[in-house]
Amino acid sequence: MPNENAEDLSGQELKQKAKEVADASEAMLEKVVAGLNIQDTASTNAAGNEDAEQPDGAKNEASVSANASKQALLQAVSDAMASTRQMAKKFAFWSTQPVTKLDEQVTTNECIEPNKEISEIRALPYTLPGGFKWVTLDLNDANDLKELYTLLNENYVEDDDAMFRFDYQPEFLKWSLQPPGWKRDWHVGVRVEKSGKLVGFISAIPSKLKSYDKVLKVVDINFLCVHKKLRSKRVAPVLIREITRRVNLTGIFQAAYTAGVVLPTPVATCRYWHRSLNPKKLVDVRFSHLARNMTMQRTMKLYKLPDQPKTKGYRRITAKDMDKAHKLLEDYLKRFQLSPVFSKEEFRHWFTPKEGIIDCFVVADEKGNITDLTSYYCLPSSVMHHPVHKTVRAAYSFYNVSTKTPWLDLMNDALISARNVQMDVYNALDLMENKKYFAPLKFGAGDGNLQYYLYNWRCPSMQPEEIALILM
Amino acid sequence: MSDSDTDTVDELFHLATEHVAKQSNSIGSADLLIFYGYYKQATNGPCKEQSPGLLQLQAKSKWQAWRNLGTMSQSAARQAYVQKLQELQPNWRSRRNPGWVVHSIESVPLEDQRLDSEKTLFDHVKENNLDRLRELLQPSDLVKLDEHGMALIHWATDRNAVEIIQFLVRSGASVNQRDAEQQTPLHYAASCGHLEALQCLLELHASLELRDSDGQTCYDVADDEQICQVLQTERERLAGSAS
Repeated sequence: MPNENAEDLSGQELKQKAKEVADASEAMLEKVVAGLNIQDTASTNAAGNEDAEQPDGAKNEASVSANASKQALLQAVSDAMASTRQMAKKFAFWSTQPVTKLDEQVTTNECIEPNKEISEIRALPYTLPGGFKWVTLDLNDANDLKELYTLLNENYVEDDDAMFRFDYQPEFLKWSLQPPGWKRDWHVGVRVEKSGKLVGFISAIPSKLKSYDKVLKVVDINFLCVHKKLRSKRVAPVLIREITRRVNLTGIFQAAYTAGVVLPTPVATCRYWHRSLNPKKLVDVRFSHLARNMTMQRTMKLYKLPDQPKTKGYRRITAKDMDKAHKLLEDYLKRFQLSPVFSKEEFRHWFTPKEGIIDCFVVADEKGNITDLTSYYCLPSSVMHHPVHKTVRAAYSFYNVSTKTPWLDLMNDALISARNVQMDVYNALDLMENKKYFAPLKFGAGDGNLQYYLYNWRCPSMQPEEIALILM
Repeated sequence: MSDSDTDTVDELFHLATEHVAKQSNSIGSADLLIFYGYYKQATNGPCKEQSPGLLQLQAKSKWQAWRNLGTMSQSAARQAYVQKLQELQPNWRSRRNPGWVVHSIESVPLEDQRLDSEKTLFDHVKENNLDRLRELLQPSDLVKLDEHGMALIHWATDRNAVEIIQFLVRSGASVNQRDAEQQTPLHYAASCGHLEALQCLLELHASLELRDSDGQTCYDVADDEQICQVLQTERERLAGSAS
């Protein structure tokens, strides 16, 4: 994409731009190739190289004869074309899907296309590229679980220079993919036919979601992952179509999902914030950065927390608290425009503490009423290329409710609880009421946005503080 | 980030234009105009187009941004484009291509950029730039305290920059230099949990028993178990050799 973009681009304009870039790239490429006097083979290879993520060394060899800078320029042009094509393809896929268009003015809160009869839904799985086959994973089987863990661990970030990679633990995956009502049919894998190697995955879990005044039966889509070596084969759209088909067959036609990338069309854009619990380590691994005039000594003092939580009645949630705590959260979530509606059973699943996976604390008053709740899930990240530290232990804010305990007191205790189980950092999105405590509790803004999407549901977009949905 | 040194300007320029296009709504309009100017200069060379009419405000300001660059060369414009982005978003390279998965880290604090000529010795120590320090250090610099009440050796210790500590002491800095609060480098190493700096200072015979203005020794300000252990061992060794 060029950047003739001092103004915002609407969807139409975006398409137009994409076309312009494609044309410009072709023209530029022609000029470059003409200038270099490279043989035809080289130019066709460069022009025809759609495989942006895996430049084929052999293909490019013809152009190695040219000097390095010319080579680089060729590569840059071919990358530009590939990425333009990818963008066009990506939107080509989304333009076939029931999602809000980028430039659509939305005033209603309704489905985009009506529910289908079972007979209208394709009965057979979608066709995969040759040499691959569909499987459903059995997460209760140690081997399947290990394979999923490995696939995600090695391929769940797209950026190869990433300094950090999520390290979803096997037990975490089971917890997040087997809530009440889960279906094995929705743990969709793709294997290589010959070797049996797992190279793709997508999942859905059932849930109820409130969008403005309507409560929908939806699935949460998560863990879409395609092996790095398959990225050019357009497997992701097939995975999305296939999970949609399987979910539709059960009479569910709406879904919620989140992503870093901007697609048609986010219902909200949230941002991560980070609160250092172990600042020295975070600076060491370059998760955070010392400002020029900031000393490590002052930084450590700044982030130091009391040894124990301070709020009277603050304690870990127990089995006996579940119904009261469920009611507390249920009432609280009603004030948001996009929020889950948990059954008692679901609440118990998501909020029962599991070491290293999920922790939940409540504040109980003298009469035994539950007045406040705070929870976080644990998701370590692998640190790439660091001589000492291999992992960053991160707590992610889940759902928090304050009715009696002030936000700052409640969340400060949550930070202390996280620090006391050796978490290095506490992360939270700027949704719900979280912004209220970021500055006073010394959170720093993160560098990544998380886009929220709804599938086959059109509704006016929302501000982060209207969102109360956490997908892990 | 690290491979930014090996990428050619052209590649970087291409990646940077993609990034700016994607991030255009998080970049101020004044900055976007600057990007626009560099972009046109880099791809089309100096501006030879007629000025748009006065009423076409946006077109006019874009034209002006390009025109202002005069005869800047195309490669200089490419470089300037990347440089500008680097200043605005230092970690743009790891953010250039968000996929399904977001792994957020803390944003780099926004600070004014300093030219190398504006940098003080303190800046060179903070940036762990031993070469510049070697060039510029005068004996009188060793005892100067900056606006934070710290000497160079305190900053070096705070950053766990062992080579700089060694260089400063070799150049005549006191290993027990006090800051404005009477803290020694050993206080900094102990409170920050910098094991390497701590060991380096002990080898340089830093004193364990000096107290800061709160009456605390380096042992009192240490939090880290390993640090406490090293200090304890050192204390016992010294006590043993004294008796």
